[in-house]
Amino acid sequence: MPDIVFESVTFSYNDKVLDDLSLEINRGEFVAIVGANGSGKTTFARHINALLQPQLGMVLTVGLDTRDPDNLFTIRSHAGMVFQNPNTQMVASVVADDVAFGPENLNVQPPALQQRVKQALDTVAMSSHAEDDPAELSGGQRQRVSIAGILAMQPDILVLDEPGAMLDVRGRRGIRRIISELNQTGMTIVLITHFMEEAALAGRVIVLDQGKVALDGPPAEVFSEANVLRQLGLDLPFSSLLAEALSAQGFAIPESISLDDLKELICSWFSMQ
Amino acid sequence: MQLVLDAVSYRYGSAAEDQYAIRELSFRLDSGDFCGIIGHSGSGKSTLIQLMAALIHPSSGRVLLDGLDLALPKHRTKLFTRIGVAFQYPEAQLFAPTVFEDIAFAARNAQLASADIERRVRHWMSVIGLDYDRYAHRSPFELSGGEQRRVALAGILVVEPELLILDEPTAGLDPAGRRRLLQVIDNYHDQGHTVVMVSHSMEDIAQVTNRILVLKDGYQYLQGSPQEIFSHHVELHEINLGVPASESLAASLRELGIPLPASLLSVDQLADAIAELRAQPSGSQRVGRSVNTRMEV
Repeated sequence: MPDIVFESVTFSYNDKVLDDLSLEINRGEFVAIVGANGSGKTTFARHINALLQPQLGMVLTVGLDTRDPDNLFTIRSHAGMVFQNPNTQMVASVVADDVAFGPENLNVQPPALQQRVKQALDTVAMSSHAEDDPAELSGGQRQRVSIAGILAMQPDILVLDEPGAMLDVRGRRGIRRIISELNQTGMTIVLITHFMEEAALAGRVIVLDQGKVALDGPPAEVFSEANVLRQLGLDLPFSSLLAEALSAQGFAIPESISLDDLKELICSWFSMQ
Repeated sequence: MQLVLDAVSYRYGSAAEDQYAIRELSFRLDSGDFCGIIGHSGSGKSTLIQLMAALIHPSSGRVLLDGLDLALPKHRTKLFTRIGVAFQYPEAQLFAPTVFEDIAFAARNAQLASADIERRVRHWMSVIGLDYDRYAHRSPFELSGGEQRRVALAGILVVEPELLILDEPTAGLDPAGRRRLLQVIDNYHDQGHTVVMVSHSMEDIAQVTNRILVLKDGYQYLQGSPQEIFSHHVELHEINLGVPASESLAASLRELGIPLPASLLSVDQLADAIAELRAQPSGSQRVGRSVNTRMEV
């Protein structure tokens, strides 16, 4: 059974946001979800841990139907969610208390509670700030505390909705590293992002358009669809843009080339024979 | 318009704690400048723009608008019609029941005639790409995030401030929304207005600004044109700032001995430079040392 199953899911506010959407995500996958504003990314994410329920169709998270109220508690202990703005996710005035909030609600008792908090803060490299006030941390540090708060609940699935949007380069880099490390431990990652360089780190990229899947595949494959991505108002990663500009200059460039390979190719043009 | 920061420091907390968000900063902004401000979190960017807009005042030093000290209340009369500030996530400050009323708010405060206000709201709605008949009388809260951002910006531009200050204007927008917003800002600058933009995106900064101020711990760390600033890889790296992706690749190619010119700030500039170099007869290529084609980025 895949970790996440969307079966013909439709959801509307005034307009249709998810439109007969079907897809599956397996345990341990790292999936990046990209799409223009209004393509349904956030609504999709909120269906995973039953913050929203499908109006038509069905969502199964770790095999459990999100429409069944009896499943909510189990689903949310398996699938944790990190939002864009770290400031809206802080509940306590001490970092360690903030991280403890989730597991406490799962009725985790001391000393297991403290162990979980410590381990979660270690994972996001924030142990040295355990006793600090979240208000005194940088945005990137606060976002790492938000992630720790989810990790302390020991979920199998981590859903992140543009976690780097409010952060600087260093903050984003830190979050990316943590996401990759968590994925290597077998956690399923669903990362919603506007940054194509970030999406390129995933094993699979899903492009949403008007609540439907427009593209779904490995990054190199998805990013080779330059025209589709442009039509959807999305950026291409730098390597694709450069490959395109060099092709326009008359250079022969293979399709869906990675940045490393592109660099090697450029070097070969200048190597002394 | 000329805005001068003369040895400005800004201290927060008690005097005994002696913590400074801005230290001894001197800086001049002239009419028509498009100035980018970069620096990592906590470097003083947001404090600096609040000082520029006279929302807070220096602990020492002066902020002068056309020679007038903005610490004095009499010099701040109707300042909001001269200096417009868009804070991070300005859509959080939308409040009116309709898009029209939200955009018109500053114009009403400036006591403009109502016919003029309507003309202005129509104009700015068309600039930001929202159809007047369709959107003017809808609630701004029914709009998408990108649309809300643009409404918030229109609400600042409606009084046509000479100086427009923006803190991370494109954060959280999708690529199409980002391009669109940058275009609106760039056009506003092209019409002769002065713009200050704080951004974490070196690509955005390189694309639109003509000068850059780099802050570190409240100090001026570097200042210059985008070409100058982004040739300082090492210095920028030291304070955890990057350079645009094209320049970053160009730098690693230069290191391998390929004599590319300095500061290639866009994909097109990089592709042009590579093509030009490649077109030269091979004997004249001054490749510094033999090129190893297996390398890391």
